[in-house]
Amino acid sequence: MRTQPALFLLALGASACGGNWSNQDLEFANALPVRADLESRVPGSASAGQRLEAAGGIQRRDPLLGDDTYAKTVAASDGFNSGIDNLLAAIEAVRTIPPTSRDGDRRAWGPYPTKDQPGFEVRVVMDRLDPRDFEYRIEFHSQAGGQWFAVVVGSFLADSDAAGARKWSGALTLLARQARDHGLPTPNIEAMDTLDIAYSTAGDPVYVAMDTVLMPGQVANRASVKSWRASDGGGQLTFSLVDVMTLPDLAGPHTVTVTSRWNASADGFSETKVAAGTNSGATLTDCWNRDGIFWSSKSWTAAPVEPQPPECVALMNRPY
Amino acid sequence: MRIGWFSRSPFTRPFTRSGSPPFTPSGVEGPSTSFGLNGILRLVQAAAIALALFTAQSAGAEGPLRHFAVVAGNDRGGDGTRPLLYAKDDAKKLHDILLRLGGVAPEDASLLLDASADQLLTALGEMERKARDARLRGERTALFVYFSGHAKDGALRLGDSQLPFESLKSRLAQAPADVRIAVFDSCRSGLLTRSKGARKAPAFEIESDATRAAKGLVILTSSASDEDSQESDLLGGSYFSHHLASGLLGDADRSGDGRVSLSEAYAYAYDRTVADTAESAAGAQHPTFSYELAGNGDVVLTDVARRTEGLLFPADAPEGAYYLVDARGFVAAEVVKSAGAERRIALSPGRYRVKRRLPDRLRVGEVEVAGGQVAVLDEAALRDVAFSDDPVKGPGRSELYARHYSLAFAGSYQAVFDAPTTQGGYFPSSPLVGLEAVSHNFFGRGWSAGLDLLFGGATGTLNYGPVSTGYRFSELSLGASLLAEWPEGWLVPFVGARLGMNVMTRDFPGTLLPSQGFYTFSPGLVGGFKLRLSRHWGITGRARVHYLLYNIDETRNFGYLELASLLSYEL
Repeated sequence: MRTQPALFLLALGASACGGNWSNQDLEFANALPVRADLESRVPGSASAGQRLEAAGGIQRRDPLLGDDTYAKTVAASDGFNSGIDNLLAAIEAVRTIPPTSRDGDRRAWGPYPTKDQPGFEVRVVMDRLDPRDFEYRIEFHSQAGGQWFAVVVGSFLADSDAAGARKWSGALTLLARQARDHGLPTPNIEAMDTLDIAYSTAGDPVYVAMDTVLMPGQVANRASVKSWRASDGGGQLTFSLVDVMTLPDLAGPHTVTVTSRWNASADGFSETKVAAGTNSGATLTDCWNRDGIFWSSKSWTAAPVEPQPPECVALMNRPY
Repeated sequence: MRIGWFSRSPFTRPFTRSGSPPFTPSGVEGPSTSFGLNGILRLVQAAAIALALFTAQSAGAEGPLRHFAVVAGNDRGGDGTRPLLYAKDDAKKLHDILLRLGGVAPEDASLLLDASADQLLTALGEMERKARDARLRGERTALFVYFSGHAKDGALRLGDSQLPFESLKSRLAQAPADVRIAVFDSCRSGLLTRSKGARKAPAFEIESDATRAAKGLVILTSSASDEDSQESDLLGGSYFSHHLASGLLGDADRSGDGRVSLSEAYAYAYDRTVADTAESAAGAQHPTFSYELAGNGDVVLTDVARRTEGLLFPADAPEGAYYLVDARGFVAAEVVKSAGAERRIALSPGRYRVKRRLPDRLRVGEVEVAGGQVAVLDEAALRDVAFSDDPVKGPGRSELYARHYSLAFAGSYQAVFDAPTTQGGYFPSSPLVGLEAVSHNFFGRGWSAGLDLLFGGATGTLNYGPVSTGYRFSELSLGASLLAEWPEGWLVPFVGARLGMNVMTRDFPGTLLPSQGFYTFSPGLVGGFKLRLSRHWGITGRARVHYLLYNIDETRNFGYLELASLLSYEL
């Protein structure tokens, strides 16, 4: 009969609908950090270099060519960004796939088989504790059976005054040792116990702190990097170097803390302070630009003849 | 069955809506317009009718006659038949004439449209009861039964029900009325009279000079036992019923006494039906009658003189055939005027176009018939027009109800009943453009099927929880519609149901948020009007109301209103 297709379509119409991301799903997706928000952009570093090259700006200088404070800053920035990349790549993948299941204030993705960890399955579980407070876990378990164990745990708290997407304070932790304890291979991070990242994107500048706790027997038991990135292109990076830094006229290597600060024009300065040992407190101040270090001051020698350039002074007087 | 056909100048149109192949009757039950055997038979039959009239008028009546009427029209004839176009219109037209001119009180008439056989018999039974009661009170009674519709295999077809000829004849023969007149406008209805042959028609009302009242049964049929009854688009009815109605309105009053007798009406309808259908591919259609009336007297079917309203053709009006076209574009009546003779036609109040055909042109004008007044035709008010500018021609109902297609370009605005709108909601209101194709009369007369494709979009801002960002909304809508249309006028209303498949996306700038996608089947209602600009072009105003179910992570019941205008081309 001719009416049968119409009835079929009518029945279909009453039941058939679907989609990928709901509005609530967007809230969960919005709570996940992305690499571009957290990365450091030291002029000449990998991420900043890409941006500046694209804008016709400076070429990236290879930090391996030098051992100065600027080169150490760029290397630290790249290392920092690499850590961000590795940790957030998995999280960002979640943003490309709609939730597998929805249950009130919980969204779950997976479980999915993993390519790099054969025999394991992975899932992501997000909970909304209140409209602005989220927690999430990346969990694995053996396909042969066993409990789910967390490898990454994170939390996000929306800034009540902030408007717009991803304006949050958040923290996430990579539990590398715990993963190994459950038999999960952790290639390339065998020396890591935990990696903690805390961040705030609600204000200007964006602040990110990365703290790595290393397994016993390493040269240090932990390493910390703190990054500030302002919307005007300026920024600051603070990090420590353990027994790798050599300073002119001082026997080394030294354990130092380095604070580097720059502006959008790629003018910058680095303050390197010996943190331990007989030269503790010795400070090296470098001013640099896109051509390299053009002014230095060492606390253990006489002051330079030329006065410190004003743009360098301005940067030193702009605290983050 | 009855078939739709149109022929005969000035309305000759080369199409038919009939599901039957062109039919050429093999019988010789009536005359044709050419001389020969049929012509001779026609003369014999006309002579028999005239003799009957003479005999009836020589007798007298015994008293006043109370009239009862059962009038039925059914366009549908069930399996093996195609729906007729004008059977119900014919019934309504006859019913109106009987009430206005035939002396039938409204409470003594029953009009049945698309009724079943049981309903017809029930109505007949009710009138029989009234007639019986009237006779018990000493009144003389007349029962008029009219049916327009399908007949096949020896039975009237009323939708899916049937009423065998023999049982109906038996019922009418025993009906408790002094005079019973039955008129059947159906294919092969001549089976009803074949056993009796052509006889004189009795009178509907006994005249004052009659000495003995007539009693008995008269049956008129629209076609012979092996003929189809044909319909005409521009007449807006069957040939037979149209001419019977024209005659009853006054044009059949050959005696000039202001009253139309059964024999006058029959002779008039017979002549014109045969003449009109003689050139059709289906062949000439010959009405028949059966006369089984005892006593004497003339039965007057309509008293035109009693009505004070109508149209008067003065004696000095030119002779010829005049066609009176009603507001719907159908020929309400025809008048054949002789030179020097006055003619009067009892039209119901309304505005009519008057058309007279000359060898090389048309004379066309308008006349207003007011209630209670007789309008006089003023020849000077008519104007000459070429045949090609005939103002009353146009697509006939056959053409309108034939299966055909139309294409349209649509522009619409879709307003979603979404809340809270301050947060950007789920589906923003948006403009859409697209194409639409309709197969008219796809599911039968006036029932059409449509397909449409619309695309559009809008921009908006999503404020949801901590998320606040702009977005671009896009929608693709594919729909199928079932429409009921009334295509006969220049303004074509339509209503229907639509099932749409809506695919909607919402994209956010950059990589800020993933794109949202949603699809759903959306049932809804549609209605509107199409304004015909020409034979092919039209513009349409349309509204749709749809239900929209959203159920990704929660069930939300939305709706949307879509207002559209379309430019259409009808193939």
